[in-house]
Amino acid sequence: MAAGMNLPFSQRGPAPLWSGGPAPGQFHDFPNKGNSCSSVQLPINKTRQPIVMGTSVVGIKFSGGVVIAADTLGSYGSLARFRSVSRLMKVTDSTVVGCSGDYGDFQDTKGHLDRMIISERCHDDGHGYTPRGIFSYLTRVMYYKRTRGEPHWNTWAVGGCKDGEPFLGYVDMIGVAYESPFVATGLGKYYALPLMRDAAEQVAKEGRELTEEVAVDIVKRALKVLLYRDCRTINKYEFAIATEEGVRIEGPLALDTNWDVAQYVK
Amino acid sequence: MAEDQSSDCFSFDLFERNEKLKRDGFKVPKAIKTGTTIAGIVYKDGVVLGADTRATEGSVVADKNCAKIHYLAPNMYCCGAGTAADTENVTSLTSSKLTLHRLYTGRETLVSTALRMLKQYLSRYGGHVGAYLVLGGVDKTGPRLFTVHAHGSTDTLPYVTMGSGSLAAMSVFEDRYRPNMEKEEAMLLVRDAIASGIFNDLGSGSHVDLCVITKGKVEYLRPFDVANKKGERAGDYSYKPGTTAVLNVDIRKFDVVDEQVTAVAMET
Repeated sequence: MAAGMNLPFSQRGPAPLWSGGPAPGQFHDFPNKGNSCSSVQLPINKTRQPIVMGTSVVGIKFSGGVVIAADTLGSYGSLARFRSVSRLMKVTDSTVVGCSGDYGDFQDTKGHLDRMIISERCHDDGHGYTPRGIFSYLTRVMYYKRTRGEPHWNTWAVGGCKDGEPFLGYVDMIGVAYESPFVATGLGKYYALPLMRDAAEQVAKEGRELTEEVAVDIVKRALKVLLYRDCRTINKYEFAIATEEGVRIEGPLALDTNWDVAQYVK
Repeated sequence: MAEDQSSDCFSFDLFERNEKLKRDGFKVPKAIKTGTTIAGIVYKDGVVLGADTRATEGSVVADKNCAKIHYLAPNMYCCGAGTAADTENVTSLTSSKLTLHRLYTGRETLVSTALRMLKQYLSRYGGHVGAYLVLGGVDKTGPRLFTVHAHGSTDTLPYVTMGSGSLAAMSVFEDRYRPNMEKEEAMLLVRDAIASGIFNDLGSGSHVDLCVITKGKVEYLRPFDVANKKGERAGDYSYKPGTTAVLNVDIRKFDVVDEQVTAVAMET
């Protein structure tokens, strides 16, 4: 409302011709001017706390590619709210990513990745994104957002197979990024990693090859332990395999659990 | 008549004074924790207990080969995680109490007796006695396995793990435990669980100790598996005679002419 409304008639100046805009003869002041280097301020987009969350993602490299798996739960705090949510994404025919943490941030990045891939395809110049390229992109985006103080509250497992060479990497919400033959996020780091590392070591010790079948079996064992011991999981999961042939996502599947020990608990 | 309660549990009368001292710069010594992976399972003939052997003081290894499987009675042993002094002393105290109890009753101790003593003691100290235990043994009721937390809660389970490496160890158990395993298989499973903690948890390390308890027999295997052997030094820094060329040899003998021994008076 006009500023001088409460003053007596004689003390009021002329009412402004319009409100919110520049005074006649003055330059228009953009909102929040002087707060940043650029003259145009983007809206603040901080993830201060994750809301709908995905739990662990596990991944393992085998002799012809990689397998990444995750359950299909989007938790809303302690409520198992969204029970059929896919946390794996086929990025290209050579790369697949799995995401844990805030689901909204995952969808945002998913959108960016999709648009990136489409625009790359439009170039139609014989080039495409390699798994390492996607990994690098995610690393830089995650670290950039972290530096700006508006992190994407996610942890990524990036897997792929290009020119016969398997790739598996991990990217964190603080921009920690590394390649490893075994990758796990969240509670998977404590439950799945020891199991997967040991299982692969056993296979090597017995002189067997770590084939796709063996790798998928190891990943299923890891997911089973997580189902037993992680409160924020459900018995429904997907897994993705990236090999020279391409990327395929299988699921949703259920895990067999063994509750025989229950009768021994007095 | 006012009862003197102070002998039964900790007195916190000096808490405010201690807080002030801390604010004024007094350096509180860090408690030695055991970091730890401890585990136990019930198998066909009894129980198998296992533990790693690293004791940590903050992020420093205080003891590379400490013993975390404590004697309680001829038929039961107790693994301890948490504050090293607390686990050591609470098991030692309970062991003494059990000996007296055995003399009084004239019978082999029941594992649940030790459990009751431990949980009532720890509960009284409100969790301040930082002892997290895996208690296992065999008595007339059969093989018994329990966990005890510092606040005094207990669990009765066929397989248990405690300590910072407990998740890594539990991962192995959840993957491979079956009821009524044979002895060799059971020992290997516990060894693998502890090894999982040793190699994946920074608070655990060094070797695997095992304790196999059956009716009438205890095998205390320390170490069961030397998982981290100290490396042999690869380089040799000794110099062979002749490395430095000898240019000249000059030997002078000193003849002892006179020897005098006197007492020097103390300074006053």
